[in-house]
Amino acid sequence: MSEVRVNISGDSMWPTFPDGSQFLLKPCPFEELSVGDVVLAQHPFHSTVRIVKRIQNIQDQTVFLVGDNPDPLASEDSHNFGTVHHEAILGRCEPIQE
Amino acid sequence: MLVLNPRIMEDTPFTLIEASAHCDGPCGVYDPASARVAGEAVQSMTKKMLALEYPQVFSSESMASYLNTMSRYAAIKEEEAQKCKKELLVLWTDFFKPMHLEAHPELHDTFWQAAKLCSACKVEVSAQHAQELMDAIESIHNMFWAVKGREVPWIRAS
Repeated sequence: MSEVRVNISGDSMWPTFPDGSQFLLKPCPFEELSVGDVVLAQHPFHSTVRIVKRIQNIQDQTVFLVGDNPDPLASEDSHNFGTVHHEAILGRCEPIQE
Repeated sequence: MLVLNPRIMEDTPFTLIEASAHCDGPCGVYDPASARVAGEAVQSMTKKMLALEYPQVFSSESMASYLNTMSRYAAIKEEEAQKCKKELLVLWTDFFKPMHLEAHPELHDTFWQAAKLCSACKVEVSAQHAQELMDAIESIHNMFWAVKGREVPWIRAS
């Protein structure tokens, strides 16, 4: 299987990851995810939308996802849609080593 | 499950998928035009107040008419200046984000001065401050459309 990269569209991860940043997508068992990881997740309310967010909290089988942007209006995340189930996590985003 | 609707990049050894990192709320409906219209009304009422001549013939009727007209101009100026300030504050605090300061470091000061000018135009009958308010709104118009990546000319209704 070829390498999978994730292209970020939007500013919710600014300033750490500006619009257009790319990551490697790595499959990752839920048990190995940690607070602070950047993950690709399925949007809970929009089946065709995948989102990139940072894990702020892990509790039971759910995670609380947030954007890095300090502006409260700059990120649609768990503050809006609540925690997401672990099955919605599609993988961990890791820096591209080139 | 891992890759949904992948976009296979030609000539690249990897698969690229798009992920949203967008904001909450209806980002696309902001427009400084609403502040501009209110600002134009402030300037128009200011000019009308300064141009309104005192009655040549003093009478109860002429004074009542004069005061009524002047009061209406003042009331509209007050209302539109407040509306202008509200529209500017919405743009400032909701539309513009911290990353926009990189390209427009003057953003905060421009909005602060514009909001102050709204207040000044309420307190005073100043053609100078009304013009400075319009100049500030024009600057905000230019920053707004630069952020949106579009060239939208500054057009006045009056």
